[in-house]
Amino acid sequence: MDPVLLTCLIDDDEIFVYAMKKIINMKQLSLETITFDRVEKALDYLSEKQSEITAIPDVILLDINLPGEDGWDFIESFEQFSAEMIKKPKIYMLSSSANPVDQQRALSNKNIENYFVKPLSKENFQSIFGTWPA
Amino acid sequence: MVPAEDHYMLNNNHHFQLVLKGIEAGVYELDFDKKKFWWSSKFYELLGYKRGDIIPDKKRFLNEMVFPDDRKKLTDIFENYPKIEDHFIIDLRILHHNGNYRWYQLAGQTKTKEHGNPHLIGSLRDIQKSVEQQERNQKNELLLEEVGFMAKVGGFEIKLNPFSSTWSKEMSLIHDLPEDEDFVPNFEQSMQYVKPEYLSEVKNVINDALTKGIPYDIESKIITAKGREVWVRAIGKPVYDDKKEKVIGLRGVFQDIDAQKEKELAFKASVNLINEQNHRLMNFSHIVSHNLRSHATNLELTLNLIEMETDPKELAHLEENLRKISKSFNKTMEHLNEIIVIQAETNINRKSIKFKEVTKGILAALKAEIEQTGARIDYDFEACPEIDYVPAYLESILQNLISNGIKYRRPDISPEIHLKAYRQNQRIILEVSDNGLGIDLAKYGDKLFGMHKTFHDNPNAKGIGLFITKNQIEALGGKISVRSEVNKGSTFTVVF
Repeated sequence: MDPVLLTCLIDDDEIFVYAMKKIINMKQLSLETITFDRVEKALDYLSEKQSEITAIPDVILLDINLPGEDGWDFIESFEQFSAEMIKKPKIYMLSSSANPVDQQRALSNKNIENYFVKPLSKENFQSIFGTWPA
Repeated sequence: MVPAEDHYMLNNNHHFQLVLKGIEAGVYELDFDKKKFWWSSKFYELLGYKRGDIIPDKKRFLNEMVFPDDRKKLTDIFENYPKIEDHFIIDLRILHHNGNYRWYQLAGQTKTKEHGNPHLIGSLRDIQKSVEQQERNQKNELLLEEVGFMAKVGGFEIKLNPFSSTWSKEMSLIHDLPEDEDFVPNFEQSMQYVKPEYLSEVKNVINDALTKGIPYDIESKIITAKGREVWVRAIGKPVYDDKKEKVIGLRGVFQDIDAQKEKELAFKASVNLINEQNHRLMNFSHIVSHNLRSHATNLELTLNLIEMETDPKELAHLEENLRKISKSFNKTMEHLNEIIVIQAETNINRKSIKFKEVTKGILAALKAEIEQTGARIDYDFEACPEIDYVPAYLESILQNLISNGIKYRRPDISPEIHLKAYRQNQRIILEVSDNGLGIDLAKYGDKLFGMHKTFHDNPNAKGIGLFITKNQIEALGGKISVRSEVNKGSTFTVVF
């Protein structure tokens, strides 16, 4: 598994985002992390940078429940321009509650790698970043 | 002593003899002066005898054979002769040879002096069967009438060429028309009782039945002669001519189903209410679980990080986060409490409240925001100044809609908010419109009234207001909807 250079976190919960960034930094899971509290902002960023290989995240951690456009809206818009992207990020969907409908929907979408319930376990991190240093 | 058979004129005439044999009636002759009585063979036979079995005797016939209750009818005739010189026909019961009374019809004609002695000549017919049939018919008719009355079912018939129509008694009763009146409405007259909104449907089915032979079974409303609105079920079947080719009329039943229909509608309404409440509760439990989980997750994550952290500056930040989590937790609990209160208090007392008073109170509370933003707020409650509602809910609903109008204003112009209340179809409607940012309903329409959804980058937006507003309105049986255009404004419509 290639090392993850850029991680993108899309979530409006500032405390969760802070904690995630801290874990990623402490465990050196990703060289860099960018965050967006709204789907619209993340989409603007991605569509703008679709041909800059270093600016495209390797991993996107996407919360489902967001104000305004939600995680599903993101997937819908993302699918419209992802074919033109120079690199394809791996998308993981995160949710606070285990909703079987969401889980099923996520697992049956080929653009979504996996669906995890917050908080992420050690094993979840390992499967996303391929590593979990002691 | 048996009188000689040839004493009687009937018996003497050969032609009469033939007639007597040919008809299903017995014949008798009574000679008043000689007090003699003659019966034809059929007369004997109808009473179960043969000639010779008994001797006809006026007194014995009256006193022993005629049913006691019917005796007087005959006595008058037999005894008052010759005062009665007319034709008579009476129905009476006579004892048959088999020991049972049967119904007979006795007819007679007096013959006066011209034939010598005064005579009474007449016939006897067995009418047992037709009396029984008549009794049965009467019983059936009574039964039908009774059943029609109890089931509130009337019958009607329309005949074509020439047009005629018939209504049963119960039809008149259902229409609040006097039942003794022999009312035969023509088509237009009968249609005038149909409630206008059902008129075209009713006319259509009747037309289809008469022209295309299509039977119908419909429910509609009538307005009776007394002005009552009544739900009715009308079933109509075309009537064909003998060759079964051409429709010559229409026959049907008409039932007052008001009681059932009202129950059915009330039942449907309560099922809807239960479904809505269920839906709200499901929604609610989902939100509860989601929100509480978010806080629990953050708490766990932050505590884990504190354990690993050594940098005092970072530790301070994490502690600050703990305080934030605790604050959000409390806020969520407050929101949940508010919602639980709504769910639990759907039956609390409504009071008559004036829109104007409530609005004035809210405007006073929002004074700072109004002055700061230069908002202009006007209201028109002329058409409906008052409403029976839960005061705290009305206050909360109005406050939410007004403050939303201010919160989501366009940065370039000062907010204008109009409030209007009026009545429509027996419901009270409140409209709150603004000239603010507006909402892209195609994009957010289904999420607008959800929990924790905000649509503008607005620090005041908590995304709970409309959720609570919707819950309060729906808990009291109302509805809220919105029309909006981005950068033009929004209009929220509450149907109480």
